[in-house]
Amino acid sequence: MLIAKKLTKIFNNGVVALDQVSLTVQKGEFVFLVGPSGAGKSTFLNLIIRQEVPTSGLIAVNRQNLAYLKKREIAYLRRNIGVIFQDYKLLPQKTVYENVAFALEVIETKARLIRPRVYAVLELVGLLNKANLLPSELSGGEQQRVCLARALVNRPLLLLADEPTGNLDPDTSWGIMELLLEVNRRGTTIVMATHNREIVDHMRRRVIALDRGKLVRDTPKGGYTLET
Amino acid sequence: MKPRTFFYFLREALRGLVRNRVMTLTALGIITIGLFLFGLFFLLTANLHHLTVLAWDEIEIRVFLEPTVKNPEKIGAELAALPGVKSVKYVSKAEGAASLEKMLGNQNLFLEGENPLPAAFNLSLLETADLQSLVRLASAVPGVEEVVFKQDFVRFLEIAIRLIMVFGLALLFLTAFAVLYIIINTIQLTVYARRREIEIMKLVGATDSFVRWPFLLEGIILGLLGAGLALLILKEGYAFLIQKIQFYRRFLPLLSGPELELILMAVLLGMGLFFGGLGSHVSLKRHLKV
Repeated sequence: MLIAKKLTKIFNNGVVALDQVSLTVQKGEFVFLVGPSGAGKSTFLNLIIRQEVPTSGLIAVNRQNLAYLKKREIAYLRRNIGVIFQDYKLLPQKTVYENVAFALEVIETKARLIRPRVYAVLELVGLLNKANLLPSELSGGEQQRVCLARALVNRPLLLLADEPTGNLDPDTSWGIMELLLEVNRRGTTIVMATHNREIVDHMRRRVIALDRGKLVRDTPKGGYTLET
Repeated sequence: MKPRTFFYFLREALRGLVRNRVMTLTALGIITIGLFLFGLFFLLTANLHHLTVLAWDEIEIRVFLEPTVKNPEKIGAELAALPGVKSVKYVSKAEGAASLEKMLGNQNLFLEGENPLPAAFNLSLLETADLQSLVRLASAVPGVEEVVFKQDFVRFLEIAIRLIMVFGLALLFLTAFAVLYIIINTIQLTVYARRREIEIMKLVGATDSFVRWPFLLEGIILGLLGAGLALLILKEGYAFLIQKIQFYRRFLPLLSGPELELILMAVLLGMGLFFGGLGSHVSLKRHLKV
């Protein structure tokens, strides 16, 4: 599903965000990406959705080398990747329904398909009764669930989550994690960057640790640190 | 583009304008003022040019014929064929005398048969006439004795026309660029206010053209609305001015009529459409790099 080979990203200011990172993520896996701030987790996710271009090395999604994508192909790549963000990135003037439907409208999904798909995904994340509310009328956890619904509505093969529980209290965080597990059970590959030690230690999934741009650990069913 | 997609873009453009009312009204106000100023300079230049052309029309070159000339028609035809000549009018000896008598208010100035005035042709000029060469060519026509015209006034007019053309066009171009610059910056503000929306569209897989179209339509709608408002103000203001100076119109014959309105409408709506679209296109470029 996801292959990185000697993946390196050096920014214009000379900062080495990723240094010769090689890894493979299989279809259906749930992978935690851990490491201190500045370790390169977000850069790695940004390279997967082609928001950044690698300085050297290879990154491929579904056997497609992302370095050679044309502009239009980048758009098509993103249609197969759902992303959830720490700050949710919801449009404040659109309702819950519109925020989710937006992801289908912009990829020109047929109008008659939009409504049932949006309602199905809102049901999955438990927000069917809040479809007509604005994001400002929701709690943080609910906003993150809208973000998740938007990421899932296009039925992506790969779901990237960048600190999805970073702004949430522990109970709400577990609610989001249960949803992610459910999505993963249905076959979606998930790569989640996180600082949440408790969640990583409890879930015992594959853990890839980065530190100052280098891959320092890749443990199946690992903990947040080597000791845990 | 499918009609359904176009209507989606149009709906999104209208929603965008309504949802971001404050920015929309600000941009609309600025575009209206910019296009109003352009329209004002346009009318000013057009009227100045019109006045000088009217004055030019009044210029006549008088071509006096030698007394021995027997066939003035032939000379008239030769003069009419010269470049820059609009029309030729023959003034016989008797007509010349009558005209002079009328001017001086003195009847029977000359006795019959003692009229010393030569026969002449009055030439009126085209706007494009090159006076110096026309006078030279007219003097060279066989049978022509002398070519007379109000040299100082003609020189003044020639310079005035040239200055108005050069400065008027320069002023219009400068105003157009200033308006374009203002429109681009204004639309840039509206786009900046919605950069998050653009970023999300790109992240969920929208193509650049899909993101661009609603903004392009918004820019075009804003440009056309601004042009419409500017036109309305100019039209009413100009009509008011014309009405106010009705009494002086004999001395200050300003341009008016449906033809002028049509030209102004085409120019301003064209500018609104083009500048609005271009403004959106330029403003979006930076934000599409997600």
